[in-house]
Amino acid sequence: MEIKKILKRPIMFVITILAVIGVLLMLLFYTYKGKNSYQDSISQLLHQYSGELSEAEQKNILEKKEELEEYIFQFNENHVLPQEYSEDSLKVEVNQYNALTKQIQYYKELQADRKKVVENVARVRKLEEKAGVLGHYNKTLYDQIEADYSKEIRCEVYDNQGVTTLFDVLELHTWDFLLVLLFVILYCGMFSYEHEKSVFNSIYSCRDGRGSLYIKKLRAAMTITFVYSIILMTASILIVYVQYKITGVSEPLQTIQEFKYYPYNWTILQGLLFVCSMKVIALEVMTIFICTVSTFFKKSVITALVCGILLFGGMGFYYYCNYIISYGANVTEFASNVIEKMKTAVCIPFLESDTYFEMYDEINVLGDPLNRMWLNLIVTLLVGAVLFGLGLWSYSKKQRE
Amino acid sequence: MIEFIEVEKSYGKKQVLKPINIKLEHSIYGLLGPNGAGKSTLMRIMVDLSKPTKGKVVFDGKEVHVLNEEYRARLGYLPQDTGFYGYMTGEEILRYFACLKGIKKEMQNECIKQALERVNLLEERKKKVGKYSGGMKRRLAIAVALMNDPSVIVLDEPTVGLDPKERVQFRELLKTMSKDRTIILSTHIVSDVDALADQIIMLKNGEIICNGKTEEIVNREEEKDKEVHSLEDVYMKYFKEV
Repeated sequence: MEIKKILKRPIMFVITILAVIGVLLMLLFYTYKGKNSYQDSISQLLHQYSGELSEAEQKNILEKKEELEEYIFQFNENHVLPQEYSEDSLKVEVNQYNALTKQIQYYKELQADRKKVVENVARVRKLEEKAGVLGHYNKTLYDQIEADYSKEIRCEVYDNQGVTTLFDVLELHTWDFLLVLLFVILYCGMFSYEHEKSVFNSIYSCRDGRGSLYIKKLRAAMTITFVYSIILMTASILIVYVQYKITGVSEPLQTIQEFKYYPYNWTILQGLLFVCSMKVIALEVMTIFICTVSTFFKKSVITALVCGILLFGGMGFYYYCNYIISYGANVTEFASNVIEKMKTAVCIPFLESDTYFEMYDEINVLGDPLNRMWLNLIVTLLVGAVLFGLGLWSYSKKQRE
Repeated sequence: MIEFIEVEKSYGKKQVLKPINIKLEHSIYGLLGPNGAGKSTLMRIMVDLSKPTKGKVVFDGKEVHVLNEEYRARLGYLPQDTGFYGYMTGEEILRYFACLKGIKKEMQNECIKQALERVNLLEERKKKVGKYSGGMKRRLAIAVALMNDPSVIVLDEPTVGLDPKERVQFRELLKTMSKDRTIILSTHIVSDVDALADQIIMLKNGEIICNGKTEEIVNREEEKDKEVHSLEDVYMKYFKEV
């Protein structure tokens, strides 16, 4: 019934219209991006070479790329082109081979890094043995790393434009802010509207106590948030799918350069699901936050203002410092770092998918890597639980005289 | 039966209710008193919306705040200020409250229909509450208060906003419901209390100054003062200077 009550509110119509406009804008944006003929030609070449590449093939591709770069150089210097190329067709082919060689170079980088890891393990093992501090735990760990990283990896080509675009889409975007703003508008009156409309006395004297009413209302808000975020996420996935075709989701996550040092054996699909889940969880925490603030005030305008200041103020301050101060007044790198740390203090970064997968620092491969993925999940859930408790306490105790 | 035992209420240093000791049986009680006498506070304590500073309220031998849900399930409360969500229809409002009052789903349609019939709103049930007149909103509030067939009914200024015809209908409705129930109503309209209440509680400055059966009070006061002939005269006698 609480869900129906929220859905019946006139503001819901405005919010739905805005959400539809948001999806349409995203569709237009990616349609425009996707119409790029270079992207299509890159996909064609990637599909042509799709699968494992032999050493000889790799060599040929790299040579071909060098040859094309030489043509470009000649063209830039002397405006001379080989007979088989026009200016446009040369540029297209260069782009194609750039994409392909990037994958091969990335594979070579990975191989070199893995070799380096095995060498580092051997070096550290020797040092620890010499110092007599090589314990059972470290020995097992080093054995495991050596076994994992000594395995040959294959150079496989696949079209990752879809999945990389999808990760890009799932990062913090304008529509996330829009969604949070819509939730602020929708939920700011969650617990104060009954005061504004003088219904609270009738409601509080009903059988359901305030505690159970709080849970019911919150559950309704969280359900709406869940449905909205899933619909919008599905819409964005569909848009990317239509434009790029999402291939390679069963490939390891590390095949995407951003996740080069990701420590777990996850597939891209698992990574995508995790990002989507974290996004939903973060939006749910936002919902709990707005509802909790709403229990403290009897006017929804005040709730909206407080939520706006707390949720967007931190980010506004961050952008102000980052863009206006740093570019306008030459803020030092140190100051920028301080600002960067402050950014993590506000809730919004929970929405950023790149904060979930903190990359391993190369030097840190054998140490204790800071794994922000689980930390982020735990902190988000903890914040949610604390806010829930605070809201429950505020609603069931504080409003009673 | 509801019993107030040494119930006091203060807001800061201001004492709104002085120790109240009273037993309410199955009957209609009229709560009379001028503004600021403590009527609404007493009612809010009775419906568990406000906690007494001292003392306790006992329902059928158990403290109200211990009974909690069990007590509120048997309660029907009509507050003085009632508003509703204007974007919902009368029927939706009743369904919403039916859920809050814990009325079983299979019973809800019947309860809603009955409640709407009681207050003559059946034909207007699909209309948005925002388009209701003041009197219709008040009748809807009455329907909400009575829809769970409560055994304790607390009505704060129930007839405010009702036209004379609606007021008569409301009196009749309350009379039909009065059997086996404890009903307490607070109003400034003495004629309503006179017509409905079996017993009177008069409050002044947070204290009960007069309590008993309506006829007995009028007769008692008539004996003391020859100019007193009705409940209205008694009210005027006590609160003339207020």
